Order: sequence, then structure tokens, then C-alpha cells
Amino acid sequence: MNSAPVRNHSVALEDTLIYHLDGEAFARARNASVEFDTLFIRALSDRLTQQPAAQTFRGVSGETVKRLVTRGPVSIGSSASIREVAQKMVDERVSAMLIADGGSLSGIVTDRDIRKRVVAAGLSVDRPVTDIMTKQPAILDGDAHAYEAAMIMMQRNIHHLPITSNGEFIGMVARSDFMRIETEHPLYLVSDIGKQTTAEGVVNACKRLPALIIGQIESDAHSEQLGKFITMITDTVTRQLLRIGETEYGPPPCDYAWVALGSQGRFEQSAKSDQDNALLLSDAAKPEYDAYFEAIAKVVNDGLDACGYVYCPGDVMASNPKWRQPLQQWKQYFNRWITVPEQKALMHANIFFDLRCVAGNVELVEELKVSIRSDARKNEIFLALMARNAMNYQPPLGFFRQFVLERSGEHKNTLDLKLHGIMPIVELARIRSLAAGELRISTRNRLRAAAEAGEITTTDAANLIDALDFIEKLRVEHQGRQLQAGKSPDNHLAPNELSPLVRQNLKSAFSQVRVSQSALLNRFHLA
Amino acid sequence: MRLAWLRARRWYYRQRHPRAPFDAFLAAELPRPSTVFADIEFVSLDIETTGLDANTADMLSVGWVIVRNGKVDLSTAESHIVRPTGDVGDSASVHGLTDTVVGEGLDWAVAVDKIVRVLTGRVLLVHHAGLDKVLLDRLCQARFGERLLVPVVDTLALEHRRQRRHHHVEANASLRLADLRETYGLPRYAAHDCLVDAVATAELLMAIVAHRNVSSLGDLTS
Repeated sequence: MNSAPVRNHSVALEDTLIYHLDGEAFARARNASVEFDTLFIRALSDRLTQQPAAQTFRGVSGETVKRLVTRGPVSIGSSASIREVAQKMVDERVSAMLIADGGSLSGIVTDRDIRKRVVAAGLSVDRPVTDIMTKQPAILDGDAHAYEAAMIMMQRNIHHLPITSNGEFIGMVARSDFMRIETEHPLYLVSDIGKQTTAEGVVNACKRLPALIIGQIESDAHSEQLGKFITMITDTVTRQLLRIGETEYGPPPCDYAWVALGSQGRFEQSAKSDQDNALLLSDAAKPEYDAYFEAIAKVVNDGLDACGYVYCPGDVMASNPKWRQPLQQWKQYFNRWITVPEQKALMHANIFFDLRCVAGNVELVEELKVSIRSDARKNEIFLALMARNAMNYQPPLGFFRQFVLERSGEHKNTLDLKLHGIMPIVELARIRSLAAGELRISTRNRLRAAAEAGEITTTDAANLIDALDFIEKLRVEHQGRQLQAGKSPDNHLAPNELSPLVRQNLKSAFSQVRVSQSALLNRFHLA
Repeated sequence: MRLAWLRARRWYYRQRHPRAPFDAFLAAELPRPSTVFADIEFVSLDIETTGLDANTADMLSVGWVIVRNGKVDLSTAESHIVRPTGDVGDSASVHGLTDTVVGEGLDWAVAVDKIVRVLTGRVLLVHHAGLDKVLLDRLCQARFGERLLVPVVDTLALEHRRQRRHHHVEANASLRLADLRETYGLPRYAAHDCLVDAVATAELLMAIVAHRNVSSLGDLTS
């Protein structure tokens, strides 16, 4: 487009028809068709405006401009005098007005025009408005992207832009309208939560979260990004609740670390996640300190629950005294789970191996991790039992590669994507990464680390990551539809709502999980 | 027709010195069953006819595009109106081709020569060979005294065989070109223009090759 040599690396996320055109043919097509030309200009500006945004989250640029329009058009006939126009602008409390006769637009007048072309120029206010209006102003269709409106306004140095829909004027956008939707950006929620001084305030701020999640899903955020986004909000809520607790009960009597476990620990929360957390105290903690930490834990656990992160059904929360212990005790917990791996210990290990420091002294968590890593790597029996335990959740595929669905109950004829799709991959990654002597944070990083260490092949790692991407994407879309319909999100998907091709792909993803599970059994001679 | 048998027929008929361009067509080297997809040149071709009975219908128009190196080469796309022997009849309402338009078309024999030339050394790709290939055979027989001896890949037959193998999956799925394209996530085109259908069929073949376990000519014709 700009005649400079370009080298782009593109990855097709779905089946794609690629047209290969040489430069000359491309130029001919652009000349011959306005639609063709517009399409590529738009694509180019899309790339330019979204390059920095892709690193974080999409905001304003994805919106359609008609969502910015707040009120219908305010107009006056072209026979009006300047005074009449000014009077109507005052009455209607608008800073710009369309000059139109029976639906056909002849111009626009703004505050600035009256200042510049009337007052400063000493023009009589009895003159017709046609003397000062901007004739044939720029207009934009309501389905255009908001950033196109922003670009037009910047290029032409104007502050108001009339918007049409099917040829009819539906209103106007002003530069200030962009500020308004910017406040719906996820980062504003983060800063808003940070301003709250009471738990109720945090809960209220969190009510905007479902709408934000819908927005992220609609702008096609990658499930990995979405998981990080939701977790980032949970972390923010947790930190703010801790701060509120510390304001209420005073500074902590000794160092501590607030530890996120499970999906929050892995940065992989979905729209429906419950809370798993623990408190790690410094070894300087005395028994009488516990009352303080119990009170703080209650503030956070209750606050998270009220925000929609419901209490952990297994009571793995900092409010449980068992999971509110000094470092030395935590080391003993892990050592016991690893050396005497009973069924319950394995269950706990699954949650606690995904530990991550959210607030407090990160050194405490790092020290615990060092001790866990050395215990786990030496202990093949523990890993083998973890591997066997991981087979509790298998992909829901029958012998003939048909889906095995829930037979009865509330979720009849559905698949549990979390239990039978995502959890098996999470467990595979955890075991493989422990076997490689690593304890990285997210499932994808664990698979990559295991591949680097030669614990699994690079292809296996890539296939599992693809499978996880695909299953998570289906879950994200499913939960997006539920949120959109005002239902509470879950993990139960009905395969007959999917297209045949998506069903095939889901089966392939499940097959990949099954293959990796048998490889895991072989690795520990369990097959 | 099996490729080996086709080869034999072509050799046999060449001994009888057919006239151009059929002679060069028969002399050209054919791809082998083991030839991989990217090394085969296909002519994706579609014909509009005056009726649905291949034994009596006339050709009204023909469009094609060459698929080579695993790509649809749109610069090779051609389409021609053909002057039929009878009148256009009912199909005018389907194809939008009236007697006047068709009257300015090519003579059928010129059209057959063009088709034979473009098919020289290439494989014929059609959706539903049952109609188009039978009609081409009849026209070729009339012009050269022999059927159009060319390897055929039929996307409809390919999908039909696949669905029969997986009968528990999509027993009643439609095999219409537009529906199959939708199954493979390909965009919808305005139907009933022979060139558009030829391009559509070519894209469908590429989608099938990308998705299914097919890599050689043998996989596509068996």
C-alpha cells in the first residue's frame, strides 16, 4: 500500500482462502473498485491502530461509531438567522447544530464558528446562518469503527461529526465522546477498584466485570489473554481487600505472603471461577498473631465471594486455619504430600502446586518453591501416582470417536469442557513440568519448559497447547453467550449446537489429550 | 475409469491418428496415481446445459480455471457462451441465458476443441461428473469418435465416499456444492455462473486436500 517492501509473518487461526495478487493487479483492482480500495485502506489503518493495543486489550478502536451517539440530531432550517441558531443551541444545550431542510443536510454550525466567524469578525447576528455554516461537512456511517471517526476528526481538525444510518442522520459524535467510552476500558476498572476504601465499594466496582468480559470476548480476545485479564482483575481485588483489611486491623505483626492457588495461581481464570487461596506467614510468626491474620483472611475471602468468586467448595482458603501457616509448616505439608502420597494428598497437591504470590513478601513463596522443586523431582513414585491420578479425568470420547455426553441430570447431553478437556491438559502440564524439575506458572509455559527439558517432544507440547487453545476458545464463546443472555456461566457445552467442522476439531483436540495421557502412563510405566 | 485402463485406451486410440487437437491431447503424459497434489495440474470446469439429462442436453456455456502448484491460478480463468443446436428452452429461467445471447456464442465444435486443448496433460476436476463428464464424452465422441479420455476428480464423489465411510457422523448431509463449501467454511458465491462454479469447485478441492487424508492422485480418484 505504501510501496515499501513488507515482510509479514501471518498465522492462520482458522481455514483461510488466500488470494495472491501481484502489485500491478492489486493497483488495478484498487483503481477499478472503490469498495476494494476502502477495504484495504481500512485493513491498513486497523493494523496501525491495533499494533500497540494488541499487547494489552482492545478498547475504543473496536467499537462502532453509532455506539458513541447519545442523542438524536439537533437541526434547524437553512432560512434561520444566526441568532435563531444560537438561541436553539443554548436551549438544546448542544455545541453544534446541523443545518438541514427536510432531511437533506446543507451544513453544520458549531460554537467555534460563532466565535470565529460572527463575534470576532463583527458579523450581524441577523444574517442568515448559511453565511457562516460549514457547507458539505464530513459525515460518517454509523457502522464505521470509532477510530475512523477519530481519524477523520483529527485529519480535518474538526470537533463534531454527523453520523448516518441507512442515509438518515442519527446524531453526532464529539471529541469528548471518546473520553466517555475510554472509561469503560478494563484498565479503568483496575484503577477504580484501587480507589475503593470499603469492601462494598470493591463489590460494586466489580459489577462492571461481566460486561467487560463480554466486551473482551466480542473483540475476539485469545483465551490465554482473557485468562490473564480476568486473573489480573482478581489479583487487583485481592490486593485492595488486603489493603482495606490492613487499614481496619492495623499493619501486620510479621511478614506474610497472600498466595493464589489453582486457576488464579496459573493466570487461567474463566468467567466462572471459584477462589482458592492461602496465607504463608514468616517463621517469625507467633501463635497469638493468628487472630490478626484470621480477621484479614475473612475480609478477603468474604469480599471475593461477594464479587462473584464464590467460596472454594473444598475450603482451600486462607480463612481455614490449616491453610494459614508459617513457612516451616508449609514445607512440611509439601514434603509429606510428596513422600506419603495418599489420595487426599494428591488432590491437595494438584491445587497447591499452582501457587503464586499475589501480595506480601514474595521471598517467602520463592523459598517454599525451591524446597518443593527439590522434593518433587527426586520422587518418581509421587510423580507416577500424580500421573495415575490425572487419569481420573479423561476426554469424553467413545471407542468410535463419538462424544460421550452426560446421561442425566441438569446438564444432560452436554460435555463438561473443564473437567474432561481443560483439567486433563492442566494436569499433564503440571506433572511433566515437575518431572523436568520446573515449577513455572501457566500451563502453556509448563508445556514449553517440559519440551525444552526434553521431558516431552516439542510437537507434543505444541499440539497440547493448540488443543488447550481450542477447547478454551469454545468455553470462552459458550460463557460469553451465557453472560450475554444474563445467565451465570458454566462449563457445559452441547455438541449438537456446534457446526460439523467444529465438532471434528473438538474431537481432534480430545484425541490429542488422550494420546498425551497414554504417553504419560508409559513414561511412568503404568500402562 | 482406472488410470491404467485409461492409459491403455489412450494409447490404443492414438494408433488411429486422430485429428488435432485430440492427437496432442492423447500424446501428453498423464500424472501417476502416486503423483502428489501439488504436482498435478487440474482444470476445474463447469458447464451450464439446456437440461438435466446428459444424453440429450446441450452445452450453453463453459467456464474453467487451472489449479497448479496447489493454487487456483485465477489468471487462467476462461468462460465461453456456446451456441446450442436446439433452442434454449426452460433453462433460460435458471441461467439467465436467452436465445439472443446464446446465438452469439461459439460453435459447439470450437468449444470442444478449446476444452480438449486446456485439458491436455491435465486432470479434469468437476463437481458431479455424472452430468458434465457424460455430456463432454458425448460431444467428444461426436467430434473425434472417442470419449474424452481424461483422469477425473469429482469433489461430489469424493465427499460421498467419505460420508459413507463415516456414516454414523453425518448421514444426511447435503452434497450440493454450496452446502459442502459451507461445511468447509468457504464463502458463499452467487451460484449458476459456470466460471464462478468452476472456481468454487477448485477452492473446495483445496479445502478437502487441506482437511482430509488425501495427498496423491490415487487418493483423489479411488
